[in-house]
Parts: sequence; C-alpha cells; structure tokens
Amino acid sequence: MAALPALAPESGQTRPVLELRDVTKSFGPIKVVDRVSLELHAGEIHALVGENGAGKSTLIRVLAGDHIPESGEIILAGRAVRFAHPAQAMEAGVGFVHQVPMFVPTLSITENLFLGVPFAKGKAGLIDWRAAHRTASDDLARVGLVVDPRQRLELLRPHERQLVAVARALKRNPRILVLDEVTASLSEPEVRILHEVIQRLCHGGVAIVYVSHRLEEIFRLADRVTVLRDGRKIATMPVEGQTQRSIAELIVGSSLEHLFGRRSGPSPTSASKPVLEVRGLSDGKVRDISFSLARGEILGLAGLGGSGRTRLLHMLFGARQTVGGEVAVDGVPTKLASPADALRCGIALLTEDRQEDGFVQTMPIWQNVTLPWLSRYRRNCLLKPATERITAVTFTTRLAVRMPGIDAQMSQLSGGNQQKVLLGRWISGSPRILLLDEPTHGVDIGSKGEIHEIIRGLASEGIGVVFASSELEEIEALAHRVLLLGEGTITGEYRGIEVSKDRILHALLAERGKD
Amino acid sequence: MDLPVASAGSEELGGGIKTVAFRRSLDLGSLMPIIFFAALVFVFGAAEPRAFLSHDNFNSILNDGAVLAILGCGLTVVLIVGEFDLSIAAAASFGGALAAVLGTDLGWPVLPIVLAVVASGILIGMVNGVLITHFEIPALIATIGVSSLLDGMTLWITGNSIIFTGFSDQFLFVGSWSLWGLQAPVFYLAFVAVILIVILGYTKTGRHLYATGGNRAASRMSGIDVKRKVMLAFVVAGALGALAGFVYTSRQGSLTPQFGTGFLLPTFAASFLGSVTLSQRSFHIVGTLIGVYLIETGSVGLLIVGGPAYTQQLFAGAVLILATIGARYQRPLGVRKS
Repeated sequence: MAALPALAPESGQTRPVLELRDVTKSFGPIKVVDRVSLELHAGEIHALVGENGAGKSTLIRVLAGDHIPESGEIILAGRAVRFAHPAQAMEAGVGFVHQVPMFVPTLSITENLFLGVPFAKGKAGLIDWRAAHRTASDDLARVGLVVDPRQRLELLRPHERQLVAVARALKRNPRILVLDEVTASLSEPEVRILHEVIQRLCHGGVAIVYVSHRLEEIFRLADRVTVLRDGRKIATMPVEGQTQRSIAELIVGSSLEHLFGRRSGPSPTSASKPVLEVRGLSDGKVRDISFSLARGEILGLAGLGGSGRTRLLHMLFGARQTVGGEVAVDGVPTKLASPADALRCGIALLTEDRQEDGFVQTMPIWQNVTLPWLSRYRRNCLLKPATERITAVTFTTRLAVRMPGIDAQMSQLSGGNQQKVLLGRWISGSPRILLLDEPTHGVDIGSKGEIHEIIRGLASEGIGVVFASSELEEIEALAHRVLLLGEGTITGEYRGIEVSKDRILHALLAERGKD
Repeated sequence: MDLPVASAGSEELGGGIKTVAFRRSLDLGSLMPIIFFAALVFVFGAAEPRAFLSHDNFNSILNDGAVLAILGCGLTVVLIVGEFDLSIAAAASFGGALAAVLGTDLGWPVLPIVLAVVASGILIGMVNGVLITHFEIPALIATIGVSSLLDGMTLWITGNSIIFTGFSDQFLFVGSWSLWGLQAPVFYLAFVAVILIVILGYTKTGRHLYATGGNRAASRMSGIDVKRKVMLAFVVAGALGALAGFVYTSRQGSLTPQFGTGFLLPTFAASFLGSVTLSQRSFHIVGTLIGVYLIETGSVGLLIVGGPAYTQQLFAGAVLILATIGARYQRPLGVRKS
C-alpha cells in the first residue's frame, strides 16, 4: 500500500529532487530510451516497470552516469547536471543497488562496505581497523542488520547481502537511491525485511526509484509507478486506484484477460497410479522427504531461501547424491545416481539459473534444444542434424519463442524466450516428470503468463510437474497442491482451495519466527 | 565442423516484437587469417618466386608441418573441452624417446613399438585427466607437472644422449615413405584429421565435447558425464602427442631428447589462430590445420628470403599474440545485425 500520504508528491508543492526531461538514448538506429520525462520527489518510492528491453536498465544507467544521453536534461535539485562517469553521479547524491551487488565474497563485510570509499587512516597512514569495523557496525545498523562486520561476506544469507549493498549505497548519504530488482532472488519473508528498510529510508527523506518485475510488491511499497514500453514512457500514475492487471496490461500493451487471475483448477483425480513416489529421501541437509505425484498434477514447493527446494529437485534429478530413501517412477523403483539416469527414466529438470547451468552459450538454439537427447538423433553413430533442426523448429514454434531463427545464439534472446527454449528442450524429450526450479525467474510479465499456460498445458497432457518458486503468486496460480519445506523437511501440505498465498505466507513467517 | 549456414527465412516467427533482422555469414574477422595467409604467400612469392612458389617447396611445407599439425589436432580436442595441455610437447618427446630406445637398444619390431607408444600416450592422458577431474588441480599446474615428469623420464631412458644409429630399416620406413612427393606424416595427419573432423562434427561424443567446453554445469545437467569427456580429450591429446613424437623420430632417423619443447608454442599458436578462422571463436580441426600451415609457411618463407633463424620464433610469437587479440575483437559470435 502507499506508504507515505504525508508528502503527497503529485500535489506539486515540493520541488522534485530529480527531474528527467525528454531523455533519449540510442544504440545504433534503435532508440532504447525515447524522450522519457520523469519527476522524483523526496520521500517518494517511485516504481519503474516494463518488460525486458523496455528501457528500464538503460534509463537507470543514464542516471548512474554509465550512459550519456544524446538529448534531454537531467535536473538534480534544480540544477541541470551531466554525468560523464558513474563516480560523478555518486558524488551528486545518486546511490545504486543492483540485482546482483558487486561484492568480493571472500573479504569481510567491513572491507566490502569500504570498497570505493576511503578507509579511516590511523597512525603512520595505516588503516585503523577498529575504527573501520565500528563505522561498519553503524552502517549496518542503519539497515537494521546486526552482524559482526568482521565476518566474511559470503557467510551472509542472500537478503542480508542485499542489505549490506543498501548500507554501502547509503554510506555516501544519497538523496536518491535506485534499487534495481533487489528482491529478484529473495523469498517472501526476506522481501518483507528489505521492504521495511526501504520504507524507513523513504521516511527519512530519501527518494527511491524502485525497479521490479514483481507487480505485487509495487503495490505494497510504491507511491507512484512509471510504465515504460519500447523505450517510451506510457504513464506515470499513483499506485492507488490501479490493479495489478491494469498495470500489467500497460506494460504489455494488450489485454491480458486470458492470463490474469488464472488458477490451475481442480487437481486431477489421483485414481491412476502415481507417476512419482518418493519415500524417506534424504541427504545431508534435506531429510525424510516423502510424497507422491499423480499424472497431470502440478505440485508446488514453497519455502524460504535455504529450505532445500533446489536441493530436493536436484536429488530427484540425480544431480545430488542422496544418503537414503526410495524413488519410484511409474511404480518402478529407480536408482538416480546421475542426471543421465534421471533422463532415462523420463525425468527432466529446468534449472533455476539458465546462464549458470541451463544453456550452452557457444551453441546455437537448435543444438541447445537437442543436447540432452542426442542418442535419439543417431543413425550408425552419426548425428542427423536435419532431424535435430526439425525438432528445434517444432518446439520453439509450439512454445512461440520469439527469435531470429534456430541458428541464432541464445544470447540474442530475451530472458523469457531463453526460458522457453529450455522448456522446449526438456519437453522435446517427452518426459513423464518435469521438475522446474523457479520457472519464471527473471522473465518479463508477458512471457511469465505464457510459461504458466505452457506448464498447465503439459500437465493436462499427463506430465507430472514439480516446481519450486519463491513467488507465492506463482504458486497460487499454478499449483494443484503445495508442499511447504522448512529446514530440509516437509512442514506442511495444502491442496486444492487451501492453496492460497496468504496461508503459505503465514506459515513461512511462522517458520522464520522459530529461528 | 560447424560452418555457418544461411538461416531459413521461414523459421522466423511473425508478430515477434523484437525480431532482429539477422544474417549468419562468414564475416571479415573470421576470414582474416586466411587473408593473412594469402598475403604471406603473395609477399614471399613476389620476393623469391622461384624458390618459394615451387612445387617442391609446396610439398616440403606440407611435409614439415605434418607432425606439428598432428600435435595441433590433439591439443585442439583438449581446448574444445575448455582445458589445455602444456604436456603435449613433452608427450611427443617421450613418445619419440621411447620408440627410439625400444627400436635400437631393445631391438623391438615396429608394431609392438607403435602399440607401446600409443599406450604410453594414453597413460599420459589418463594421468592428466585424473589430476584435473578427480583431484581438481588446474590444468595449468597439472600439465606443467606432468610435462616436467615426462622430460625427466625422457632424459632417464635415453641417458641424455642423441640416438642416431641402430634404427632398423622398418623403423625408419614408418616416417619416411612417400607418395607423389608427400611424405608419410602427411598421410598420417590426413587420417587423424578426417577421423577427428567426423567425430567432433557429426557424433554425439563430439557434440558433448563441445558442450562440455561451452558450459560444464549445463552439460552435466543435460546428462553428459563431463569428467569422462575431459578425460577422453586428454587421452586423445596424449596418444596423438606420443604418436607424433614417434613419427617425427622415424622421419628424422635420429632422436634428440626433448626435441618436443620447440613444438609447444607453435602448437598453441596454431590452435588459437584456428579458433578465430572460419568460426565463431571455437576450436576446430580445419582451423588448426590452417593455423599450422600459416605458421609453417611464414617460417619457411622467412628462411627463403634469408631471415635469420630467430625470426621464425618472432613470427610464431607474434602470430599467437595477434590471433588472441583477433579473437577478442572479432564481432561477437560472428553475428551481424543489419
């Protein structure tokens, strides 16, 4: 909800801290940002939304001094400025926190906080470490983080790292703080902690630009929202009075009737033999997982970061050693010692991070589609590229991948289309069980709805789907049934109409309260 | 081989907002080495037309480059899986020394010698592979270590002396028979290159090797046993390295311990040069062959126009550095937007 009625920004009484006037930036012939104007007021949380490629990042980078606009003005506290270099933007009072903060994980929190900021010097010009750690503690306190600043940064949880990144940005006392997808890899309760800190900052008078794919959090947090599409500003408006759907339609530029508020409907009858049965599955951290999955069922895994969702999926795919438990596929007990075993049994896994362990950057789209299934494209030991290409065309067409062609490189596609190619890869092998880890991670809103529809379609064809998601809306929209994971074990189960965002959130918060 | 193919227009999906006009072609960057090659031939040919442009010289370049090219083929496979092998030259030294010792002092016939040399090469590759996949030692350290071990063993078995007598006719015939003016190593090279081109370009194993080099984690998640692929690559490199050493020794009719050291730099230079030739920054056999013969042509040309011996090393070094810079500045992945 709108957090700050006190400083009604749209009343025009206060002078904006930042004003962009007709800012334009092109790469080659393409105008990536096209005459965008924006006003930002002190104490305002201003959300910036748009699909991938709508120009959000470019606009932010113009603000950061990373890109120099070819026309238009940036007016900071009444004065026209021109940033030629990121350092100038920082000096002028614009702070940034990125989706993946630049840290040196093996250094201490203090050292990371002081990256790019001079240390306090003691006698003989050496670093005064005690003073530095003291300052660091104070910096961390500003974002409500109570940890020892001497410990290594990598020991922190993801949301704590984000808080350190915010603390670092605050070291220069910025008047404007740009937060770029800072919650993208956080789970719901962690997102809430970050939101509290952001709200506190904005009460303190900092103006915040908040970039996010998650519409839901914009409603919780932002006062106003600016929608960009194809480099142009479509609208700036108060969040109040809007709905998620109305904003999503502005983002996509068309009606989303078929996508919004869809639920997967009733669970398929479990009369048939389950396609997957798991009993007592354990490894070092995940313990005693038992469940069964019916044909055509979509099972959601909810849990905090570190609850073992990804681990469990990897165990089911043979990518992580288990120490005990049984897995049966279509009633046949199976040993899953490697991904190759899982693939042979008809189990496929769409991993969480497509760049990290999803696609092979150096191969064209068609080779990425057939990579796990090459045995099926052989005659006398030789591959049949023509057949491979037909498969690639068939599945990319079926999933409506927008691409220049199957010979294109994966890097030419947007995140959503990369994800669809990989989904096509896995279903081209006609699996019986599809495991999905954050199926719409970093995917724009239009593709997200499409991917949800694809998943429902696959389930209706009889594929059993298990997916993990940190977005509760996604779980609500997709799952027939939800397993709640906490500390590596199943702590709850919801089915049918019990599957609701609020109920799961409640359970997750209770979980957090325990530790 | 992964030569670019014109993309079919029919595959483009209409209605896509961000459909980028796209053409896949051999761009100028990937043709640069070939243009450079042609320029070399032109310059040397103009300077010394009779000596350089002769049929004999052409054959001798092919003959002299063949051993280097076999080594290059082995190294290319390792580079494809994203590792590298500094021990390949030492493997050649060792293979040559082993063959020479077995052939002279012990008087073995040729066939068992070949088997022993191949076996030693496979063993060398397995040691590299185990160190890198099982003990997770960086390839740089592991292969330098193995290289030093091999050089030590080479000195040990040869007693650090040149072997130039006592070879049987059979032994010498292996590396010196010729046909149409081309010597044996050229035919061995052709055999190795054709087999590798087929495996790398047209089999599941080859695709898996490329995938392993492209993204190891993604390959693992696609059911590929990446450790075995890395192991395989080192075994191929070790075996080809040792065999090349044997062929070289047989062709020379004598063995200088550690002769392989001189091959190390040109082998890498040729493979890296090949990776930016006709390709989108990936290692491939045809590229490596072009790289080898570019370097060989340059060396021979410099010799013919009267350049002192050190200019050849200057040339190979410069090619290595320029090829790597070329790779960096090549248009990203050979894709052109219009």
